[in-house]
Amino acid sequence: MKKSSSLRYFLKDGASNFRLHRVMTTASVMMLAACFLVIGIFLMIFMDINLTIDKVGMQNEIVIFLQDYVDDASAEDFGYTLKEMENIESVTFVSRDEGLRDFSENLGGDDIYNSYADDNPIRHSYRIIVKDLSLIENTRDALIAMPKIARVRASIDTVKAFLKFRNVATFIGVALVAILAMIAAVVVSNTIRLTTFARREEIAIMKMVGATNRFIRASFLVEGGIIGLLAASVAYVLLFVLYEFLLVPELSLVSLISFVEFGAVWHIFLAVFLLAGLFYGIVISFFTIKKYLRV
Amino acid sequence: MIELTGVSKTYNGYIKALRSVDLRVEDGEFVFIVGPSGAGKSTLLKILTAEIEPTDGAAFVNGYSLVGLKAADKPLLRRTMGVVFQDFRLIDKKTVFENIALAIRVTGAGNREIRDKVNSVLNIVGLAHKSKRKPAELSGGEQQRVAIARALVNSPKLIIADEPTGNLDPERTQETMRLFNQINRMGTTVVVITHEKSIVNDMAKRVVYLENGCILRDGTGGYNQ
Repeated sequence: MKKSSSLRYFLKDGASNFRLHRVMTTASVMMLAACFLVIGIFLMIFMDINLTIDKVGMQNEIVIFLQDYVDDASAEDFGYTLKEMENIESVTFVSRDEGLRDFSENLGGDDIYNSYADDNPIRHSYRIIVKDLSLIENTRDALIAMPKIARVRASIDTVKAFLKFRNVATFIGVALVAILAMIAAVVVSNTIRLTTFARREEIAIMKMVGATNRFIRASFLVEGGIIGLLAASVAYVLLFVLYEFLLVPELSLVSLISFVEFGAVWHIFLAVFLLAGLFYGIVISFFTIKKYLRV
Repeated sequence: MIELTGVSKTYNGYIKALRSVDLRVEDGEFVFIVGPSGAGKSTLLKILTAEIEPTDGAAFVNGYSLVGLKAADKPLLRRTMGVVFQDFRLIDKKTVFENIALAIRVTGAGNREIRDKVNSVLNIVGLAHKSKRKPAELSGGEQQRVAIARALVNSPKLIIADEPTGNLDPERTQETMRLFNQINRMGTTVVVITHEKSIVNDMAKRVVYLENGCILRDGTGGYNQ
């Protein structure tokens, strides 16, 4: 068959079959869309949890105190040296005066500040946020090795516990998505099997007139692909609406949670949904039709 | 051409549907295969269309050996023949044109060739004006003519019709048999499987009488010869 005309035929036939068997195909689309939606919502929530964990993690800062001999100008300049180090996200300079003010405020009054203002025992310090928490120990060690630094304070144990928690959360998330994807495959496979069963007579007629398995399969695969793409589109739109207008407004009341902006990930979700839809529709149709081709 | 030599078919190891059948149908012949229910007619049809394989014997149709026929060759064999069934076996959701076009599209024909050939066979069966109708919008006789047109569209060497008039009234029956006769005069081998005595007796053609899986009679002269 001429390739262009056969491709046109299969696309046209697939679209036409979709329309003609609209009850069954709509059922397939809805089932697949529902599965994608559940997976999508779960992924968004999972990403929110990860973002929240990351933000909490970022609050684990390293505080360094400079040696007493470091004067004001050198202390401020030291910030540039710190910024050039690996794994440093940001540095905030806290001068001796600011340090004393914070200290006295924490203890509840200006008296302490006034008492020690002329003979300030507080050192210049920096609050450091790291880029990658898993490398915090290396960063701490590098800081300790610097002569101008008198002391380094880093909650390594807290960071380790936090990293472990994030790894467990990631593992659970990936496992749940995999399980949901498998459940989706089974549910959709059954729906497509019903659709194919209803059309077994049509397949038998095609075989009788001399159609090859490839020809029959192509027709059903195109249809499966259309079902997959449509289901992915429906799920995508519903995910956007549910996430933006229901989930985020409701969960925003819990101030601890940080939300991934849909606008920042829309293209990734769209691509993943469409590819997964195409894959599910085509692969499941391929295996479902197999048993009806043995005539 | 059909050539069966000592063809037997046994189901489940003990149900003997065909017993050492010898049958030769030359190109251009018109043959009725008749017999009561359970005679083995349907089994014979399934063997000829490569739906099942004989248990014993040798069978050839249009140059293809039906014993050990590869799955990939079955479509090629089926394109050399047209099959017409009692229940028409049309796809309800497709139009008359699309139903017929399907048989030629599977061969890899382009759109222009498909259009020309489908229109040509629609003219032969007298349904050119109903090409856009769906099967459900046609009478039984018209549906059977669509099935015949579909069987004809690839210009097959052989047409096999299984009880083609079973669902038709006497007038439509005569019309359908006239059409088969016309197709046969155009050079196509026609094998009609039926148990209707009247249509066999109306046409002076070769009759193969099958009973209990055996050919009891083979010759011209009507159902009972």
